[in-house]
Amino acid sequence: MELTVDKQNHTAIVAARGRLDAAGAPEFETRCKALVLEGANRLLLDFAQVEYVSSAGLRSLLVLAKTVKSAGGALALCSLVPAVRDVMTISGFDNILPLAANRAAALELLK
Amino acid sequence: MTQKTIAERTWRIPNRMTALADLAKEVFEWMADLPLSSRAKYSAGLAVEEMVSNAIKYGYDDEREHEIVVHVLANHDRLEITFEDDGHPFDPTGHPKPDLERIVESRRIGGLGIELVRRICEKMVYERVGDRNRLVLHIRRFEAHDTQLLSLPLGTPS
Repeated sequence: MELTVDKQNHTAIVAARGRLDAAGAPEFETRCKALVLEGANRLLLDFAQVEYVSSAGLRSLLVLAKTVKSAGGALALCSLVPAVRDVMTISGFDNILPLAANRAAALELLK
Repeated sequence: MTQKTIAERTWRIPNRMTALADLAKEVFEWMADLPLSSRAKYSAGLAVEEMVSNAIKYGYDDEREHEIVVHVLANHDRLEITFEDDGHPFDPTGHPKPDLERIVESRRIGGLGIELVRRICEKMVYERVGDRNRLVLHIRRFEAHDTQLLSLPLGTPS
C-alpha cells in the first residue's frame, strides 16, 4: 500500500493507494499512527485510489479513529470508490467513521 | 430444479497466510472475465479472504501443514463458494457479533470479518462432516435493489 502524505499544521492529508487488506493494513496503521504522534491529530484519509478494504482494513481505521480521538483530534475519509463505500455501508462503519465526497468536504468535517 | 453452471473452479491451499495472498489474487483474476456484477466479484473475493484467513488464524493448534479447499461455482443466479478444512469445529453462522471496543484493543480479537461476510451473503450454511468443517456461501450474481445490503451498526441486535 502506497501512502502520500501532505502535512499542514496539525492536519495530515494521507492519499492511500492499493489494497487495505491483511497485508496492507498493518503498515497503513503504523504510518498513520506515527503522523498522529508527530502532532498531526487531524487525519484526512483520501481513499480515491484504494480499490479494496477488508475487515483487517476496517479494524485499522477503527484503531486510528481511537488514536486521533485520544490525541484530541479527528479523522475523516474522502473520495471512496463505490465498492469501498459499499463495504462501509454493509459493515455499518459509515455510522462510525466520517465519510466525505471530496477533500474539501472532509476538511470541513475536520474543522 | 438444477441450475446451469457458468463456471467453476477449485483451489487447494496450505494453511499459510502467504498462500492466502496468492489465492485471493487468483480468485479475483479468475472472476475478472465472468459475467458477474462488480459487487459480486468484490463480495466473493472478500468472503474468500476473510473465511480462509480465519481458518488459518484460528483453525489449528499444531504447526503441521493442513489443506484448505475453496470451490467457487457461478450459476445463473449466484456464486456458491464452498470452504472445507480439517481445523477445529467452527460454525461461523452462530458466531457472536463483534465487540468493536475489544477489536481495537487486540489484533487477536476477531469476528469483524465473519460479520462482514454474513452481511454480504444471501445464505450461509455450515456443517461438520466427519472431522471437517464445510461452509457454503451464496452471493447474488447480480443485485436488483441491493436489499440484502441494509446498513446495521455492528453490535446491535438485528
